[in-house]
Amino acid sequence: MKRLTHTLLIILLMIFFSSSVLLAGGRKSKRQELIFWHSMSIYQGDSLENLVDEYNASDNSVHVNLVFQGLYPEMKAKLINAVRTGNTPDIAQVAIEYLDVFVVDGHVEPITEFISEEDRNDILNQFWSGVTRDREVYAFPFNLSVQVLYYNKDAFRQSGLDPEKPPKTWNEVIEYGKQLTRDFDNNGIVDQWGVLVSLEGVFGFTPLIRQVGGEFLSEDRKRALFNSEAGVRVMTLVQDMAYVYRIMPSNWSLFEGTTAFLEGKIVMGPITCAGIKFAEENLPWELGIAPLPYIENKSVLLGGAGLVNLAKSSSRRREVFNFITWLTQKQNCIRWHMETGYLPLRKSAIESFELQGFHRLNPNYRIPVEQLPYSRPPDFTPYLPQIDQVIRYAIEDIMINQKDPRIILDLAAEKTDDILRSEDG
Amino acid sequence: MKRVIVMILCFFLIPVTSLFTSEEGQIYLQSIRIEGNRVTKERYIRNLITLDEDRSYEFDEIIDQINRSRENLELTGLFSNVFFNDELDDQNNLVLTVQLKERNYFFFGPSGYLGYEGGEFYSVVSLYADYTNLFGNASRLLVEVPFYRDYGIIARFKGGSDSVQYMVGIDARYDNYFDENVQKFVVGLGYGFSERFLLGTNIHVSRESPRTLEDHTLSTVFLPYLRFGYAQRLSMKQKSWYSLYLAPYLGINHGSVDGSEFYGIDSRLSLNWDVFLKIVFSLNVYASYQDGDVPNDYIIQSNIRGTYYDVYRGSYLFSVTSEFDFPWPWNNSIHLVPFLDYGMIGDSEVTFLLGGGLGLHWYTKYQNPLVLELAYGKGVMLNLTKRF
Repeated sequence: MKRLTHTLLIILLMIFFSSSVLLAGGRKSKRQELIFWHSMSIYQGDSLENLVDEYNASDNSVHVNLVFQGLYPEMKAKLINAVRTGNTPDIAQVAIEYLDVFVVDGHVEPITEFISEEDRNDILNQFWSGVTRDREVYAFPFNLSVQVLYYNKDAFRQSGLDPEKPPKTWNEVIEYGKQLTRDFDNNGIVDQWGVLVSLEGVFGFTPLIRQVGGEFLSEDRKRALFNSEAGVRVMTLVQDMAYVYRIMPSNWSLFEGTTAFLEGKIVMGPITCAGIKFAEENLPWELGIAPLPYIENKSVLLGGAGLVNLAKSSSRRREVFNFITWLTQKQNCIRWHMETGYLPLRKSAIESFELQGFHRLNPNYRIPVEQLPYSRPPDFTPYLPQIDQVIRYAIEDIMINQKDPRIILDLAAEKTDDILRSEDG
Repeated sequence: MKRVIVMILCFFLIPVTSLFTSEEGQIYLQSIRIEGNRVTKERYIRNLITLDEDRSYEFDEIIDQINRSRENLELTGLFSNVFFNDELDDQNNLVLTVQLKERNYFFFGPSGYLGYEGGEFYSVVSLYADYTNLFGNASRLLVEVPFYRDYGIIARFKGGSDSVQYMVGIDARYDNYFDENVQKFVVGLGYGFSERFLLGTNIHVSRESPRTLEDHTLSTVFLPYLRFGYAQRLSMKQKSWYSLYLAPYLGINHGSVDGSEFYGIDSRLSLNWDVFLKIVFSLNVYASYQDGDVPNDYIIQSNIRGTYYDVYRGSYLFSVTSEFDFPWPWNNSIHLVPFLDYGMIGDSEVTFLLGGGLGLHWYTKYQNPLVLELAYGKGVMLNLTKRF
């Protein structure tokens, strides 16, 4: 028994010694702490944490403290609360569609004058347009994405389709979908659906309207345009996929669709490029990525978030800016793209041999970059979250209750106009 | 009209002149710089880079060579980040800078096990240290110092290039279980035909001296081996990976039992699958057989966690160890590892062994990982064995 006690003591001492050396190595002298609220969950969160750790480990006087504040809507709610109470973080990752909420009330100051000429020219215009309002830049572009078509190469092979030739247009999606939708056990229940287009609100609907020459809102943001012929045509197309061609489930939520996609029950679907890394590493089947199919014109929606500088003192604002500049420098841009799937922000990054070499080995990551020339952010208005809700209900009515797209979109447009009018008043 | 023609010409000329390209559409690589290597020797790094300075390349070729060079650098396991930065010098020639981030190369921690079985406590405890970039050329020094029950030192030095590998080592320890001193000198040479295929041979010269006797056994053991496949995952995109290790051996005893021989074979097949969300299932199949006048230090022993390894010995072993590796979702440095082992070992009589339990593997800067496994088999065991 005495021997056992000795042994246990020795082991505990060794473990303590090992851990204490580790912890001691991590201690640093007191530095200025910057609080960074972010919305990056598991996968992207790990990558962001690694980058921030590297920044903190570098020889400087600042320590950035990352705090996860939930996904974008939760972050928005917490940030609204924070600006009301004055307890804002120094940096916040704000979705570009929520930026207006803070800009209109004057909670975020423009950073236009602090942006260097080099950054202004090197970062693509599309990305600046996502964070610019009335010619003033309010956030630094950071994690931006476009939708691409994810598809299951194994299912393509099983259905006799060439996995290297994904559909280019939505009409081709319908043709492929007919071959891919299958009832393996002939029990009358579809086991594998060809496609799922979960038009989740504004973000799913807008690019398709633009693909047929339409717009979501008027340029002055005072009127809804999504109930135009273009909008009706898009919704009819999507409705037909479910009820006429029967290649798509009619009443699945995004969550159900994503789960089914992971399980291999859905073969194709538009999903954000920010999930490529996760999908490649975790899906049990071979992932193919193709450009978002088009109807007439190519168009994809630019989404994602920018970094807002909310530091109160000028010295802290400068430190925040130094950190953001470091975080978005060419090398980190490329790394962020490789480790997540988010778009590389800089022309210098896109043209670099490093990135081109990576794309040669990982062609799935090249597709979203190739879509950049025809990417556009949504039609910004501070009321976009409310309008998004209206659109979601409308799409549900069309898809689940099989209502006439024209009638439902007109009703939704009326509600949207009311919301936009309330902005004027 | 002239103006229009000039403008059109300019438009077509821009892509030709803007990017590093010479008239023949080639890129002239002026120089390669290496940055970020505080420990690793520049000469060692340059040997892994397949691009030459002062040479012209086609665009496709340079991209391929950058990828190949990166793979070579990553395969060393010495760097956490490899980045090829391209810039132009004053003459519009390409200057490549290889920016490296080195890992931590020094690991240490506890090893061994303690347990309770058949009414008795047992334990073997040691400390290990592992330096993975000695002399800045990926040479490796492993030292284990047993200091409880057994004591002494075990050291191995591994070096070489990517194709030729060598190893030298010594053991000088007291084995309490057999109450004998063991001295061993080990040399090895291996040749990698490809990244996946290694052939080599080790030679051991071993001396065992029981404390209660004045006699000793001196043995020379020849251990050719073959390793096929990948023991480690090369990238997270890889869904499955495997390795096979085969090592037949022949030993000749000198000294008191002069002329007697022993022989045998060790084999291990390791299969790994990434099931989902970085959860990895590993299955290891071990099969060993031996015959002849085998010195104590070479007798096959059990590897079933939860049973006293030293007690279960025999001339053959067949065992299967299996485990799931679950990264803790909120802290990826901590992994939960439930495991189940099964084996049979013996001579004329076979002993069936079954063990299972839960492990916690903590990947820290200095432990890769720190192992804490609680196993239940014939008895209860706390296993700390760091598997090199």
